[in-house]
Amino acid sequence: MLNCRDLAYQADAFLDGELSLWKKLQIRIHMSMCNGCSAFIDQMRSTRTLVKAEAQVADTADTEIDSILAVLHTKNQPGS
Amino acid sequence: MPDKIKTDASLLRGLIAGDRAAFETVYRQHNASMVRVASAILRNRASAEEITQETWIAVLRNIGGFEGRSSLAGWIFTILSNKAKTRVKRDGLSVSLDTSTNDDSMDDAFDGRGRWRDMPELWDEMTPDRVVDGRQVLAHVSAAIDQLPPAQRAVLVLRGQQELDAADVCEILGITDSNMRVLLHRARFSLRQSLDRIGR
Repeated sequence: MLNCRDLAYQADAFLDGELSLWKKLQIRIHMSMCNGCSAFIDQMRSTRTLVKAEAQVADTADTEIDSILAVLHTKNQPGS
Repeated sequence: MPDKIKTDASLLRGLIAGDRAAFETVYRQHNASMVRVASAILRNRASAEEITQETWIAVLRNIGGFEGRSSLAGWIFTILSNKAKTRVKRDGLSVSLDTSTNDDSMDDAFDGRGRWRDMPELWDEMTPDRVVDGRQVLAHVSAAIDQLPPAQRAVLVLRGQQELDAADVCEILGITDSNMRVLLHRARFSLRQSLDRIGR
């Protein structure tokens, strides 16, 4: 019988849809009886969404881009 | 044709043509993640920023030779990783990416019978815009990511944020697929723990 720790270790594979039908069924049965694991799966889903969202908010100054293009331009000059 | 591939192809044409807007798009998509991955390998923020800038210059100089055998992001991160590893060797640094998975922090969450010690509860609405203790949730996520062990951070950034293929992540970091999965899961579990402290 699947326990909470077993479920937690398979949470990523479950959310990625990588588990066999039988393992998915075991997890769903356990979740239907365990509010903690049901909340945990929901939390892991939210965590993944927030991690992805965090990557979108990086602050980038135009000067950083300009400085790279300037270095590239300099290195492409004859004799450099 | 999937949208991602179409976007890659369009950006690629722009980069080859020297289009600033295309470069800006690619830069904004990857630069912060590149600094994080390089920092994980070099353990030094200043060196990581330097290597990242060198990588961008190499990308722009060699973009015509990109053969599309991996995604554009995969190619960029491969260049970054090679440059960072070369820097580690050149400077005789003893640091390397510690990819050991002998960490029992997850097990601590359970009792001897595999039950939660502290039963998870549903979070109140956890949206990116939500403010907790004066900071937006995403600021908490950023801080938590930066506190992860380097190997977990690198895997999380490459797989969980940049969404590179698993095989590319393993190649870039020199780790096995099972190693990568364990590191990724531990990273997400740690972040979940961190969010749980503010989410209830």
